[in-house]
Amino acid sequence: MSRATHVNGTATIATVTDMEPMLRQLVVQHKTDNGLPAHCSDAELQAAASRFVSDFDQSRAEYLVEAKRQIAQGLMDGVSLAGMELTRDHLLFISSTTFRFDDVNKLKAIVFTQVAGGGDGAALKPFESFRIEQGKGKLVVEGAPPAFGAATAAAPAEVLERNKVSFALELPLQPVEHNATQAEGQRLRWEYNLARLSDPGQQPPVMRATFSTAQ
Amino acid sequence: MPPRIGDRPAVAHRHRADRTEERAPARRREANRGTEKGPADNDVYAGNARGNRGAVEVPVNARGGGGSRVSTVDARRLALEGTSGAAPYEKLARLGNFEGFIKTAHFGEIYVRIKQGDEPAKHPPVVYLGGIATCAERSSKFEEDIQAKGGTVITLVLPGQGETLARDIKNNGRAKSLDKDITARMQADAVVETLDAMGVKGPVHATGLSYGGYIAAACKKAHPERFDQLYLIAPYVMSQAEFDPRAKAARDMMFRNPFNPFSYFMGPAMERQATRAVLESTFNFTWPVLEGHRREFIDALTNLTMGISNDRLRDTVKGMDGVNMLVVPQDGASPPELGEEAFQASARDGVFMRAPASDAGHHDLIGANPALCAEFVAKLMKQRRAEEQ
Repeated sequence: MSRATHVNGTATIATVTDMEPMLRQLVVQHKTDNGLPAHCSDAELQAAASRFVSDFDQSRAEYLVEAKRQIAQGLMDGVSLAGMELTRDHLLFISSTTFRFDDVNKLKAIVFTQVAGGGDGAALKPFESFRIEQGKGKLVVEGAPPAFGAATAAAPAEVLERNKVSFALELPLQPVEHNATQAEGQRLRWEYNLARLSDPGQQPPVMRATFSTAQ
Repeated sequence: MPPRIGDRPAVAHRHRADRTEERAPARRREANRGTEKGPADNDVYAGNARGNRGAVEVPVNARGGGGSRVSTVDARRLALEGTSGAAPYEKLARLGNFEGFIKTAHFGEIYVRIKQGDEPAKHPPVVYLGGIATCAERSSKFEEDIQAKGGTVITLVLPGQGETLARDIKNNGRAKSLDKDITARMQADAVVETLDAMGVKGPVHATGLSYGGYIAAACKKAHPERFDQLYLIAPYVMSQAEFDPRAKAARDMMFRNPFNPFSYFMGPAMERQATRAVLESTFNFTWPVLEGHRREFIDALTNLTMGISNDRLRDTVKGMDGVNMLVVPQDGASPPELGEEAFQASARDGVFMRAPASDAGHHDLIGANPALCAEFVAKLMKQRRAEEQ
């Protein structure tokens, strides 16, 4: 197979994150630091959550502008940020980021590098695992969603199931074969919950699609 | 199995000769300090001096956060005198029982309380560092118990905490120490600068509860020549968001997820917001010494929390000698099994001990059972003295 060239399109990565367990645990941590019982009541969670979402809602627009700015700085020619959203449903935070590209091969080279701020500073490469091949009238795209370790898998099933990631790919080509969880015309979408992504008993999922390049 | 305090010998002796030899160069350096200039730029302040051992008379002012200044001349004399003496803690002994502020080179004024034990000029003191929301009153009983058992204890209230934070606000019109997150290394440097300002150059022991336990370990990691034994009490082991699998799932999704670029860039800010929100709702009090400064109190707790949020005790004490640990059964903040894991990563020449079941769940063991904590520290200090002689 030879490399595909100049197949344009869009790719969307999205997440649903349940922040409730983290807030609950922070309450327990700081209560115990303060000599109080290691328990978080619903009322305590609600009090912390109200403050958190209030602060977050006030700063969301500012955060979004800054995130877009930093992402745009790191993109190569031919790749642009087509959209970025962050919404929430109480403590479920839903992010969606769409890239437009003039060559599907450029997907792999998208790298997030922190210009400023905390974190561990390591760059994130969302499409690092992707393989794109073309030949004999077809284009094959194959890649893996993020992997999470066994420590994450120890969380209760209901927590893992509420957290999700998805990837959507839309090319101006007809898909002829795929394992996407959802297909609408030329748009394919793969969605996994954290239970699947962190399950040490299963092979990591592979997202695979074959498109026809025949005229 | 690690040794426990009930085991005999409670402190392993197998490395004694090696460790004595390791410290010898430090002691030679100490002996050679006679001609070095002391920390003359550092002033000593006193808020309340009750002892009679001190060579310096200090005015009494028992108000927390306040304190009257001892003249700079006295402070410099204190800093410079006795540097050629054989006893490495002579200047400390001259301070007597002391309560007040010590001016450091880079960390402003640090609240210090000294309770002198037997032969304070001769034996290393133990530095006590409290939990994240500490203030001086929280450890009084523990300190008295150590003193009663012959140990000298120096309690420091670190930048961002209690009396020291109040003093920072008073001196600067705002909490200057909170301009950025306060890391463990910064706190370790603050401890050493405070010891420098008091003329303590010989190695000291360090003990601490929870956050203070972790900072004690960070002190020895950053300044190994200045610290001998560590007595860590329910020490911070790592962020709870790391060891609780439910919280870890959220943290990984939010902060380490390549499909979530928003949070990759903004995650730390969100984590800070979450931490602050929780602190505001769970710390529904302010110490009297910080009355009128609740916002700064919460800001400080947030900065202190964020300053060590990526730290792990296991990594900090890896291969370190002289690590002793007292953990609490069913401790939700410092799980004993993670404490033991950290102890196992150390040189394992110290003691690992569990508090009795009656203390189960009492993370604030200094408050819940000060006698046990003091027994743990004082007994091991005595054993260390015996080893040294």
